Amino acid sequence: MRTLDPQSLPQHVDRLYRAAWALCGSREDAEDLVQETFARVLSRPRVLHGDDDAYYLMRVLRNTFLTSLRTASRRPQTVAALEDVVAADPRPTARPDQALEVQELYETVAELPEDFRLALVAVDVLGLSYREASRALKVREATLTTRLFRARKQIARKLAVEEPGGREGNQPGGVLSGGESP
Amino acid sequence: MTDTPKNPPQNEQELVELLRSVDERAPESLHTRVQAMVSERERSHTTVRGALGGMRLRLGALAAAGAAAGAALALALGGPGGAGLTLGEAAAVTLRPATLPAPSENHQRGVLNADVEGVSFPYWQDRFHWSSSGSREDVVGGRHVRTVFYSDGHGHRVGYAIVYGQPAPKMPPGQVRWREGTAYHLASVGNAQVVTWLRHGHLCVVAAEGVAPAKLLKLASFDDAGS
Repeated sequence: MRTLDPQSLPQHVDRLYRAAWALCGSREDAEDLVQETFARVLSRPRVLHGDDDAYYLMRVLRNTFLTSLRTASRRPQTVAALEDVVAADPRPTARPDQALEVQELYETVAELPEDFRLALVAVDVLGLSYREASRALKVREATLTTRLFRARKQIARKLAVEEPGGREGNQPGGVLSGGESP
Repeated sequence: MTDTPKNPPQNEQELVELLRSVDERAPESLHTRVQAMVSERERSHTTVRGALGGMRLRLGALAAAGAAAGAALALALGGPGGAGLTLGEAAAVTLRPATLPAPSENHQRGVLNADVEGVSFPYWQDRFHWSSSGSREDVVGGRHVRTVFYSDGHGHRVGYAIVYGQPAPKMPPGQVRWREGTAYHLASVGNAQVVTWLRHGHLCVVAAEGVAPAKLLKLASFDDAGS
């Protein structure tokens, strides 16, 4: 057992952000989710049982995500006025094509059923082992494996179906690089 | 992800490879906010510990423990001259991504064309095969810090930070190693190994993850000609 070192947290921001983005399907929501996750983690000292902080952070991310979903479902829906809309954080990336690819990929992930999505994000996006992921998501390893298998299958099928002309056409502007299509 | 346009994955294996290849960074504003939250938490935690230590001293029941707590607090704050910059903050800067280009080599002096008030960043390529890969400038705890990053071509990265201004912020002593009359202080912050020392009165910090402390010490104590 050891205490989580808060100073080690900033190094996980990028990984957690990608995981949050895949969960939410939107960069803006991902930013909020990551910030809320770190706020929770930092609210009091944390004792960890494993060596890897990422497993613990995934658990808090999951809890925060589920809480936010429940809260949002109870909240009355409002439509934002144009002046209330804040533009997304300008990206320092020199590769807007990649940002678009990632956006589309994560949007597809975010359309998965909640359980499948969490399994895929924990293992394939965050990079946890099956054991760590099953602990973080509080499910048995066998359950996680099944969910992961189905999640991957659904995504692969969706992306393949959406590809214009299929792979045989070898279109450079496929689903994952749609922004480059003429 | 690669620069070339991708075809959609045709099977689960290709999908997994695609998902794992995404290296999109979080926005800098989010990094800044998280760093600020961590610093705030550290500050408040230190304050609470200090208050508790004071209560214990007033009670007079745990004098020895109070002395130990005082020593720990002094370490956390970095000693009397350390207000404003902690070891964790200094190390965190060296682990963050580069935001500026890598400085070039100054062939005449055998250092990089980058310095902090006359203290140059070393050139490690010929001797150690670590080349400069980027740099960044930060203000941390009220101190201006310049960092140069070095890569070894095998996926390892070292951040070398020099803090502007004197006197240098005090750092916790950690394990002390002496090289050529200079004290190098070894510590670990999270998963990172950190070496701190003084060059011409300026605090220098070298830190990395996945690099052995001995290697870091060797890099840090390399006697470049440009100091």
